[in-house]
This record gives sequence, C-alpha cells and structure tokens, in this order.
Amino acid sequence: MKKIYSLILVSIVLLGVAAAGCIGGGGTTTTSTSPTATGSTVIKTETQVQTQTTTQTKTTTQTQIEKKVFIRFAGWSAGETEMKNYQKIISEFEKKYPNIEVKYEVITKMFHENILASFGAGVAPDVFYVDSSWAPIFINKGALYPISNLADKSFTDQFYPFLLKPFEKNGKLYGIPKDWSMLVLFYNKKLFEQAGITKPPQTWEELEQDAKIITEKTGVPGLAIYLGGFNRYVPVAVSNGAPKPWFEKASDASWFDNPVVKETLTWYINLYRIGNVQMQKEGKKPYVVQPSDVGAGWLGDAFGQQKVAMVISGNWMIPFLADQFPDFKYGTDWDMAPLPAGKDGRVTMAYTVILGINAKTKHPQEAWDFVKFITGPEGQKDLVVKAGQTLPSIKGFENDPDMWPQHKKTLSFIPEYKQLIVFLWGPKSGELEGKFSDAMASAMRGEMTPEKAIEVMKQLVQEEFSS
Amino acid sequence: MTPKEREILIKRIWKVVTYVVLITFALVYLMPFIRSLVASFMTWAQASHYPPQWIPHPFTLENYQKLFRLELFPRWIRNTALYAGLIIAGNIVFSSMAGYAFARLEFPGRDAIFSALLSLLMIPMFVTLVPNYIIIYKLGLIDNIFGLALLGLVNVSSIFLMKQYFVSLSDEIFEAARLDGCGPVKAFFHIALPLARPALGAVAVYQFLGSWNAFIGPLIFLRSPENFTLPVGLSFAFQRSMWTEYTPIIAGSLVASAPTIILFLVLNKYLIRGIVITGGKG
Amino acid sequence: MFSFSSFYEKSRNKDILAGLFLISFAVVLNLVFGYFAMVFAFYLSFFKWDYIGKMQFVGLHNYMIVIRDLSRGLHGYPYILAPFYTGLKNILIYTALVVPIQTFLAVVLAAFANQKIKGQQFFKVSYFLPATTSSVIVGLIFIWLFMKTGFINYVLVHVIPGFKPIDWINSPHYLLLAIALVAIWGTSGHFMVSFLAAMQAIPKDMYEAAMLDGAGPIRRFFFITIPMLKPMITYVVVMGLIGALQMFDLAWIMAGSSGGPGGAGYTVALDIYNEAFTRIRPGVAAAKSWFLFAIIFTTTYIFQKKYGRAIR
Repeated sequence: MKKIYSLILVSIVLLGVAAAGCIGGGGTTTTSTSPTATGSTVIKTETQVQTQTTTQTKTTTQTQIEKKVFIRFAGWSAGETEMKNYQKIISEFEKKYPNIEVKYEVITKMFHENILASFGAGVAPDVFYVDSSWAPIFINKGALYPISNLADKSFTDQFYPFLLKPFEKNGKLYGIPKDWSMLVLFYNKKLFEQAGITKPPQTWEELEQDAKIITEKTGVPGLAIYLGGFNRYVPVAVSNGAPKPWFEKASDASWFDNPVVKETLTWYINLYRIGNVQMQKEGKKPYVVQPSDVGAGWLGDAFGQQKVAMVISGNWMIPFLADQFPDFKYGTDWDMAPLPAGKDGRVTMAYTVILGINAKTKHPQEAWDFVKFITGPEGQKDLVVKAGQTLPSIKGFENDPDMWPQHKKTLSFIPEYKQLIVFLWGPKSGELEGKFSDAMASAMRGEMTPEKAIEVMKQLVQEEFSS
Repeated sequence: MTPKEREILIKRIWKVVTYVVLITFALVYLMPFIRSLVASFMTWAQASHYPPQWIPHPFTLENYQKLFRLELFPRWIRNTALYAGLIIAGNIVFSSMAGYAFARLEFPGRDAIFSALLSLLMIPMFVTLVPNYIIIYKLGLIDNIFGLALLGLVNVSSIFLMKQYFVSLSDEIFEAARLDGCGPVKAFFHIALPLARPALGAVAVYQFLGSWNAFIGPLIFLRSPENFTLPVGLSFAFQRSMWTEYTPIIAGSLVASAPTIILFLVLNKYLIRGIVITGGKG
Repeated sequence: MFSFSSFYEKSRNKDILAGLFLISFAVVLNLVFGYFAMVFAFYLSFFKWDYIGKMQFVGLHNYMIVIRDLSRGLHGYPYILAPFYTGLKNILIYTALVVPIQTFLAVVLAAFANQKIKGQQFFKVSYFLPATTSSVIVGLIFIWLFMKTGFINYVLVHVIPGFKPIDWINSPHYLLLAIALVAIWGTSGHFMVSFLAAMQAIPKDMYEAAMLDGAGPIRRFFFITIPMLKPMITYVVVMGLIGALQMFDLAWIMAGSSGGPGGAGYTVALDIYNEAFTRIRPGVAAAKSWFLFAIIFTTTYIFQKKYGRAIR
C-alpha cells in the first residue's frame, strides 16, 4: 500500500523535475526567470560606470556588459505577432543603444490594476502603457515622469496635437501616444443599396431616418449601439454645441444642466428606448438593436455577421473584420464614413494609449531614449503602420504604401472634424464612464425615464467629488 | 406475483431509473462540451449561427492550427506542468501531515490554529495582492514559476480535506495502534498514510485542477510570455482589448482539459478501489 | 515532572511534539504568505492610500463608508449608489442557490458513479468534465451558449412548449440565475471527487448488514452513506460557502466588472476589486474585505457548530 503511495509521490516529483529540466534545457529561462535579481545587481554597478558611458569611452566587451542600464517595459499585447514585433524593435533598440537592456513584460489582463499594485509594492516598471482613461489617475498622483523635461520640441511636434493635449498638465507633458483609433460610421453597402439609399447619413437625424428605412425595406435592423456607452454619446452632444465634458469637481455636474446635453442625451437614450423597446411593444420590427439582440458578442461581430446595416465603432474593427469575416469585403460590401454632423459640425472620439515613464525610475534618460525609439517614425512604421491594428500617432504616414487602405481612409476624415475628443473626462474617467453607462442603459431599457437618468448621472458627479 | 418476482421487478425498475437519471445528467453535463467540440471545427461565422448548426461547413482545422502555430504553446504546457507538479507534490506531503495532526493528535491550541488557518481562505485576494507582491519581489521570484508555486505549496483547503478524511476514519484502528505502542509519527506513516490514498487522490486532483487552470495568480506574478502558463497564454494569444477570438479559445480549452481528464482517470483507481476499512475488530 | 509521568501523559507529550512538528511546515508557509497579507489588510483598512503616494491615517472612516453604503441600500437607493449592498444581496441569493444544490448533486453523482454498473467510468468522467476547465473559459463559453440566439435557448424552446427565448446575459432578472447555473454545473462534478474519496472509507460490511435487513438502495443512501459522509459534507459545504461568498471570476467574465444590467451580477468580490482598482481606494477595499470576512466566518462557524459535530 505504501509502495503505491510513494510511487505517486515520486512520479509527481519527477514530473515536476522533468518539466523543470525541459525548461532549463530551453536555455533562456534560467537567466530570464529572475530578471529582477539580475536587474538590481546591474543597477548597483551602473552608477559608478555611468560617467564612462556618457564620455563614450570604448572598453572591452566584458566591462560593457557590466555597465548596462536595465529598463523594464510593461505593456499588454495583441497576441504573438505583436509581441514579436515588439521584440524585434527592442533588439534593434538595444543594438543602437548597447548600454541599455530592455526587459519586455506582458500583462494580458487587468493591466492598470497590476501596475498600480506594483507601484504599491514599490516595484513598478520604468516604462509602461497607460490607457487614456487611466492617465489622469497616474498623472495626478505624480506617478508619471514629466516627459517634457527630456523631449525636444521637434520630436513632439511630429504628433497630432489633439492626441498630446490631454496628457499635459501645468504646461508639462506626461506621456507619448503610441498609437490611436477613432470612431467612424461603418455601413453595409449592399443593405444600403437594397434600401435605395445612395449615400451614408450626413446628420444624426439622417442616421435615425436611414436606420428606419433600411429596417423597413430589408428587414435587417438599421443601427446597432451599445446599451449605455457614454463615450459613444459624447460626439452627439459636442457636435450639437455642448462643451466637451470634464469632471473634476462637484460643480462640474452642471454639464448635465446644459439644454443641449439634455436634448441630445434624451435623443440618444430614445434611439433604443423608442427604436427598440417601444417598437417591440407595438409589435413592430426594431430599427435599433444592441449586439446581443441579434446574437452577436459586440458591435463588430454584429456588423461582420451582416445582422445590422450600420454601427459606429473604431479602427479596431478593421483587423477583426479582415480576420474573422474574410468574405465580407471592404469597398464592395462595406465602407466607412465620417460620423454624422450635428448643428455645430462633425465631432468624433479618439482612443489612445500613451507610453509613460515611472516618476521614480532611476534612469529617466534611458527610459526616454526607449520611448522615443518606440514612438518615433521608425518604431511606429513597424509597430503600428505595418501591423494594421491601429493608427499611427505621428503625422506623415497618410500616404504610406504600407498603411492598410481602410485605415488610410479613416485618416482622410480628420479634416472634416471640428474636434477630435480623446476618451478622457477628468480624474475619474473610467469610473464615471462605467456608472454613466449603467444609468443610460437602464433608461434605454425603459427602467427609468431619460430625465431621471440624467439626474442620476448629475448626482453621481456631485457624489464623486463632494468628499 | 410472488415476492421473489416482485423483488426482481423492483430491481429492474431501479436499474432503469438509475440509467435514466445517469444519462440525463450526463447529457446536461456533456452538452456544452459537445457543442464546444463541434464549434472548434467551425468558423466563428458558423458557430454563432442560429438555429445552431451541427455539421461544420466548411470543416476547418484552423482553430487548432492557430493554436499549434503559436511558438510558445509547448512552452506554456511545460510551464503549467511544472507549476502543477510542484503544487501537487507540496500539497500532498504537507497537507497530509498537517491534516493528520489536526484530526488525530491532541496538542494545545489545535482548534485555534486550525480556525486561524481556515480563516486565511476568507480574505479576498485583491487586498492581499500588494503584500504578496512585496514578498515575492523581495525574494527575487517575480516572473518565476517557483515563486508562483511557493504561494500555493500548502493550500489550506487541502489541509481541511485531509483533516476531514482522517476524522471520518474509525477511531478503533488508531486506538489499537496506540495500544500496540505505535507512536503518533509512526502511526502517521504506517497507518494513516496508507489509508489516506483516496483522499490524497482527491487532493492531487483538486490541486491539479487549481494549478492547471489558475488564471489570476499567474497573470499577476508572471511577466514574460515565455514564462506564462496555459490559461494566461491563451488569453494573451486570442483576447484583444476590444474583442475575443472565440473559436481558438474553445479549441485551446479542449486541448487544455485533456491532461486533467487523463489524470482523473489514472487517479480514479485510488479514488475507487481504495481498501475498505472494516473497523477495529478485523 | 517527567520522572513519574504515567503512560498516558507520556503519550500525550509525544502527541504534542508530533502534532507541532507535523503542522509546522504548513503553519510556517502560511505565516509568511497568509498572515503577513492579512495583517497588512487590517492595517490598510485604517488608511487612505493611492498606491503611489504616502498612506494617510483616516481612523474608522473607511468602515463608515461601508456602513453608509449598507444603510443606503436598505433605504432603496439605486444600486450604483449602494454597490456593496447590491453585491451582498446578490451574493447571498447566489450562495443560497448554489451551495445546497451543488452539495446535493455532488453526493448524488458520487453515489451513482460509485455503483457497479455498466458504463460507470463514462458517467463519472462526464460529470467530472465541467470541473476540468477554468472558470474564465467556462464563463466565455457560456456567454456564447446563453446568447439570445444561443444553444440553451434553442434547447429550451424545443423542450418546453411556449418558451420564449431569454436574453440571459443582458437581462436584469436572469443574469444571476445564469451565473448560478454555470457555477452549479462546474462545481458539482468538482466536489463529487471528495465524496468519491470519502465513500471508500465507509466499511462495506455496513452495507452488507443493511442489505440483509432488506434496506433498499435509497434507504441505504440516506441511513448509511449520508451519515458516514458527514465530515466530508462539512468540508464541501464550508468550502462551497467560502467559494460562493467570494465569487469573482464568473461574475467578472459574464457580467463584467460593473455587474451587468442593473447590477444584477454584481458581487461583493467585484465591489472589493472595484474599490481597490477602479476607485483606487484600497483602504475601503480592505474595510469591505473585513465585512465580507465577518460574514463568511460567521456563516461557516454557525454551520460547523450546528451540523459539523461529527468533528470531535
């Protein structure tokens, strides 16, 4: 009896050892498993040697290894392809700057939560991604290094100014956008043809009108939106003359008292409230749906399955459609148009992720060299333009032959917009976005009136900033 | 009807009822897997079709190919196996010892210590994240499977399971050993452990499940894609910030659950054919 | 003192030494990784902190926030303004639904799987299968199956006459039920394993004696199997309570971190997560954790006191 027991035990231990052996055999793990340990030793030696590096004395390779500066760079990653692109760029960077070694860390989910926890433990990476909606938290708490202290104007001038602006505070810049996406109107050309509509809607009223016509003529719901989704509503408000929303003190709740906001928010809520809930009550076909109404996981999925004629979504939809619905062709089957205009012109949303430098880093200059390399023209050419997932944040790629035609087309919309608003409404953007969306969704389902929802949203802002 | 015939009839009915129940349950429990298996050979466009389709058309191996095209896939499997191996070994050794002590030995503060251990399971992990992060970092074990394994080497739930199992064994057998002059440690090795094989099997199965499928722990403490475990790796490979590639994840999870099923079948012997303890009089 | 210690005292001393030795590894490891974290969490609950700057002592303020949240919930505020209350309400309903059913199913499945019948192996593996997949992936698969045009509605429409497809995931009325069903589906097979193991410790002669007395299988199940499994039932219920009251993964995947429509899938663990990382108030998260701790501790304690007397 004992024998059998010890047999299991031994075999399990062996399994563990064998697996360890395999990995050791792989070669790299033994060194890469404890980067933090090697990191700290490297850092220790570095201070004495730095004078040498700056004076650029040539020494033997052995001492060069010793004086390496070690930088940790953390991001999330869109799969193996993107990871490899990054690894390639990093090795190019290391070739160009032989005194800097970059450790690439990937956190696939709960990214910002992890970064915060590592700040709490005092071991945050030197360079990391920050999503625009999280940026104010990091900037206000002093977690990010003021990059403008290191950056030349000639470098930052390459970027689209509206992408840099939100990350400035008191005249200092705290991050460099690594790429971006914007909202555009995706429409199904065939369904439009069937309904006899010749061009995409030019105003918000036309959008609703076209949705009705398409539903009537083709039986396919005209428009899909998310229930809630405050950020998708903001362009409607601002394009009709409302100021850009910004919440950092209790009195900012007055944004919801603006008559334009009241009117447009009611209109947006009613898109679904009337276009779906009420239509169903009357036994008619709804002309506005949410993705799950048509059995889709998200807007892109609903559009790709051709279960709706129009959605308003961002550039991230483009690689998704290409990958998951290869038979649904850009140009012949579907196309894109700028967002519809309000009384005050066209406005769209921009979504971006910045590279920030840890305010407590021991090597701000080296970290900046790295950020500059990654977000500069060379880096973006490979990481953004060729990869085809998002848009480059520096100007000048508009006619690049490597740019996907779909993305190129969205860039051509920029001049049409009066304003491009980065997804960011003050220090509690993420939290407010979620709570606003909950209130909006509940009104869209008809659980409360739009007036009540607006009141709750106002109260939320007051609450958030009162104590 | 003679009583004999009645008995046979009842037995027959009982058998039919048993099978009906068993098969219904099996259908309910298996259906999501059958659906997943079928869908793993479909394109997403077809898998999301309504009414559900059963014959993949076109039949595609793309989802599995996507999986095996990942250069790091074998690596993730090895990492996960190493992690699971360490966790199982640690739990079997340490939890059987502690479980036996808590169930069968009298020492001061026994129940208090046990309650204190059990209460560790009641603190949500999000508030313990930072302190654990600090410790693992101070040990230089971030991004290291061994560091991750250290956190789960002795799981309180395994101690609890072993304790409850030892409690349920009959007292006589331990009493007899004691009267024979068998000390507590000796009794542990010669009596308790051999009797505990079914429970050790259960601990092994649980710890394997827990470590093989662990997501949040590896997500936090592992940082390089080459050190990822399988669940984190799959999420890394197929989940974008805005959307998820469903079908390869389904295929991946089917591949990932295969070792668990095999382990269950292997340990099944110990779970089922364990010796039956017949009190003290035998 | 040792010179005239009796036989029993000697064996008692041996017991103490052996006991302390045998638990030492478990205690030391948990001391380092468990208690340090626990003490830290307690300390944190009296401070305001943003992870980046310095901690600021705020006394009982964090606990007051929780109490205000609870009292608001009791006064019927919308769930956005009383998240902890909403999470607590949901999780109690969820636990009341999941723990009894999963425990009962686990015993029944184990009893069936333990019988000598044809295809026993097949049944056992099918019941165990749901437990083999991680809850994150299970959640993803079930979102797909629970879609309005998904497989589950398809089956229900065909099995139950007059059934109208439900948008499970997006309905404030059905979301929690959907999550509970997935949890039961996944955990009953999981806990079946414990019962399978424990059934091996039941002396066979007890069954034989009962059979000679003419006890049928149902009576044998209720009068022998269940009482003999008592310690293991305690284990399964206690672990089930701890797991259910802290449920996170399934809700996080299926309802999202804000808890889905109307907060129907919001749980206390989600709220603690949101406090810690969305609202950046780790101190409040810690305070809420201690409330949750108190609830779990009391429930499991009461259960063990009332039903767990089999443990000496």
